[in-house]
Amino acid sequence: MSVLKTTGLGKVYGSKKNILYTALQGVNIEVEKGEFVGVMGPSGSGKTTLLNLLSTIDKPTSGKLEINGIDPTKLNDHKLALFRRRELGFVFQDFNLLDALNVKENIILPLVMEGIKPKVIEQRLKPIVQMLQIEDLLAKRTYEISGGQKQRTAIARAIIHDPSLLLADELTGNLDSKAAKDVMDTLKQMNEQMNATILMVTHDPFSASYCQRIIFIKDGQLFTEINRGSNRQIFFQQILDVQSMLGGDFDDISFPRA
Amino acid sequence: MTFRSLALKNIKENWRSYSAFFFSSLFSVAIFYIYYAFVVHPDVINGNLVAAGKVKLGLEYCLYLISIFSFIFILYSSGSFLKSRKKEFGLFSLFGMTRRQLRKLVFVENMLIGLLSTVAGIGIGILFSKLFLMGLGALLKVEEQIRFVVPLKAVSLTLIVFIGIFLVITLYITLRIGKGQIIELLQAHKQPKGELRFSKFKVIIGAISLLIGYALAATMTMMTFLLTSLPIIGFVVLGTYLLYTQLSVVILNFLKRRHKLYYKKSNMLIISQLGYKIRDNARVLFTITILSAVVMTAMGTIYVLQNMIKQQLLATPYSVAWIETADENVAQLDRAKLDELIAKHGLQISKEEQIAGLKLEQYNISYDQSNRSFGKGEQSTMIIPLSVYNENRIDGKELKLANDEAALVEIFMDNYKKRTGTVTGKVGNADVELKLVDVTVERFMNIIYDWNSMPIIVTDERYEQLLAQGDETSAFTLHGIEFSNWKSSVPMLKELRSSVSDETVGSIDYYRNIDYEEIMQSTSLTIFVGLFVCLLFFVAAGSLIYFKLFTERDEDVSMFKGLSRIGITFKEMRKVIVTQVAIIFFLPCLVGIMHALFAMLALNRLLNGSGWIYAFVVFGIYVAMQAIYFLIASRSYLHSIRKGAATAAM
Repeated sequence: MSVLKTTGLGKVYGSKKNILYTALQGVNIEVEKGEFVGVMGPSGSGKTTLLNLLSTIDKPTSGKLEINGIDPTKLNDHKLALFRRRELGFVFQDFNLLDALNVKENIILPLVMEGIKPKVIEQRLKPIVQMLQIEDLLAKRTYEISGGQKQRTAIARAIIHDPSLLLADELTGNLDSKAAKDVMDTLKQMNEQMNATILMVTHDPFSASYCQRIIFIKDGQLFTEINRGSNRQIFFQQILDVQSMLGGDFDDISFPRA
Repeated sequence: MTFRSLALKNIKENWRSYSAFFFSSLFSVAIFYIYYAFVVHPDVINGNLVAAGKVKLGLEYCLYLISIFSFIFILYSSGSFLKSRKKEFGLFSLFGMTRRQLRKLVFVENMLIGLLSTVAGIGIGILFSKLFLMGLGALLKVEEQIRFVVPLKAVSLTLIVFIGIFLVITLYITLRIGKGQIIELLQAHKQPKGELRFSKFKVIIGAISLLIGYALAATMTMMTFLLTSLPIIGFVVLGTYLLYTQLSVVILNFLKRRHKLYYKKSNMLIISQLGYKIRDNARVLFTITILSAVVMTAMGTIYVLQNMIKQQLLATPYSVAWIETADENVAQLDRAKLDELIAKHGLQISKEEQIAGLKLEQYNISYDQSNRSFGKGEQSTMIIPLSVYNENRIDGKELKLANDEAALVEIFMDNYKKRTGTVTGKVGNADVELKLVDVTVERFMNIIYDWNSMPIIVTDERYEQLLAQGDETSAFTLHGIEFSNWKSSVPMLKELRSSVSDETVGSIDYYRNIDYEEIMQSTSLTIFVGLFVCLLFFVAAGSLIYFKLFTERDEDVSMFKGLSRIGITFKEMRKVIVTQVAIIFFLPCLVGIMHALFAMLALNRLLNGSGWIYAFVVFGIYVAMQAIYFLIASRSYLHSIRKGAATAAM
């Protein structure tokens, strides 16, 4: 069963009479349960627009979107928010953690808002923080921990409610390469051990090499798709090849890594 | 694009944040104008408003108070208004605007708003001064309406004062602009919040201070007043400060440990953020709390004092009283003339009483319990038979005396103390000595000096004996008349005074209603002006919190954006924000009322009066005003956050 299915998904910016810019056009994507999919493309290719549509914070102007059998475009704002909270998990480049809460509180926030009993919350929290190796950080404040730890906290928050689909947006963009590797390792672990379905938007070939499948988009349309074999090194090389074929500027955010 | 057009455009675009600054400035101007227009009103200056003449000095002090208040208020408003725009200034500098240009921009903007709000404020003030005068007229019960005028002096002075205030404040602020690094300006709201710390020592000091302050206030008496009133203020002020900076952290930490409560839906967000909101606003909350406690207590005090004076005055039972005696040397009131005046002024007699008594001349009262003596053998007083006294008693009790005993009526309403002693004096030519066994405290008749200021009660038998000893001028009667519509008797009483000879005045008492009217007018005016200042203060308090709120807007916008991405609904976010805003608005209000309640408790004990009802009216007005402010603020804040989150999505 496919967790995510889009048919002819498109997004046009501008008013009805006067079309200004086509950001996305006729995108068909299907993600099966347990898949780890990457989305890549040069800047301006429509990656972010696609992610916004998938994460239901923006509405498509054409085509159909289905997540776990539900069409979120048909929901009102309130139900949509609840849908996001129950069916989706998010990891962002800027972590998006709350200063006022400590690590543990940040992680359990979705469950707390859902009205789940404290006892159940503690039960769910335990295995996740163990897997992400952040048990010792639970009482710490967000400004006391490193970027990698922050991102792992964000991942814990994104999966604690066991979402159908985990969406990640340049999640290694703000991390140094060591931290990026750690985060990607844990993400892979989540995918393999917990059978989490992940869709990750990235510009970074190294992070992307952790995926099983990568969808490339260009000028708002699907360009190609490559599947990983058994060797990650070869996959990494394949990614670089497609990138050079695609052309365009892939380095849009990668320099702050220094 | 010229500078002026950039400034104008800024105002147009950011109207929401400017409007708060504009309206609170406008409000100060309007209040100042209305008030000053009253102070220089021709009726007040020419003394047509009697009460206003009496409290003129007070009125002037209030004017200074309002000016100083306006100054601080506008300074604070514009300061926090600029703070909320730090990022914007950072951007301007980043794009190459020089410091000079930035200053010019702020100067032009601020002066523009200042001028607009001054002119609009005077306009609003003129509109509402009619309402003010009408309210005042109704309160003072003046027969003629106070005229509606627009004193040029008020308009010009308001203009000068406020343009001056705006100029000074704008210059001051302009000089402070652009001192920081651009990066600091840009990241004004991005600094991490840090941990909420508290020190155990300070927490204990704070809690103890509040408890001691309250305990001292609740047990205050006349004796301890001088000794404890200053320490009480000290303890409460210190306690309040520590309450906001330290105790709040402890209380919230305690709530955080109660997982059932804390891990319940939006409670986690509310409680965790509230700590920071309170810490960041601690000084404003503290100031507002103390000021509101002071304002409410002051209002309560004026009211209790007014009530006390009123009660004392009204203890006198009759509107008019006079002496009737056979003594030809005493100039007496002509009853026919009185009746004529009563009819002329349309007054209804509701009660008429005659108390017959004997004149005790050259009396002297000495008590066994103290060295003080009264009468000193020079003055006269009245002897009244027991049956007559018991009939006329107000409290309805019955005094009992044995045949040779006498009692004194303490007519000046001192506190009751059991006293015994001896009364000597003369009835006619016969010397009299009476044994005093009791004192009652009661104003059962009007007092006419040298006739009945220390009435002595004797048994009826003894009275008959004394009457026989005296001559034909010894017996006299005190007449008293009360009107059902006594509150409108002042013109008649004044006419009565001018129609009788100066000698006659010595045997008449007609003062009560005249005094009553004067006291009521001047205290009512004080209360009215006080309420007015209160109103100003309450609105200012609301505005301060409102401004503080908007300085944190960017932070809340980014939080809302982040949270909505992970699926927090707007409804939940609204609950979090509205609850926090409500607590910030009502916390100082409630703590202030708590302080004022203890102050009123002390006051009521001191003055034996009760100002509770009035105090609750003042509290009610305060809470109501805060509630209105809260509704407006939370609405516009939510709107602003929603808009901010929508325009800057992703």
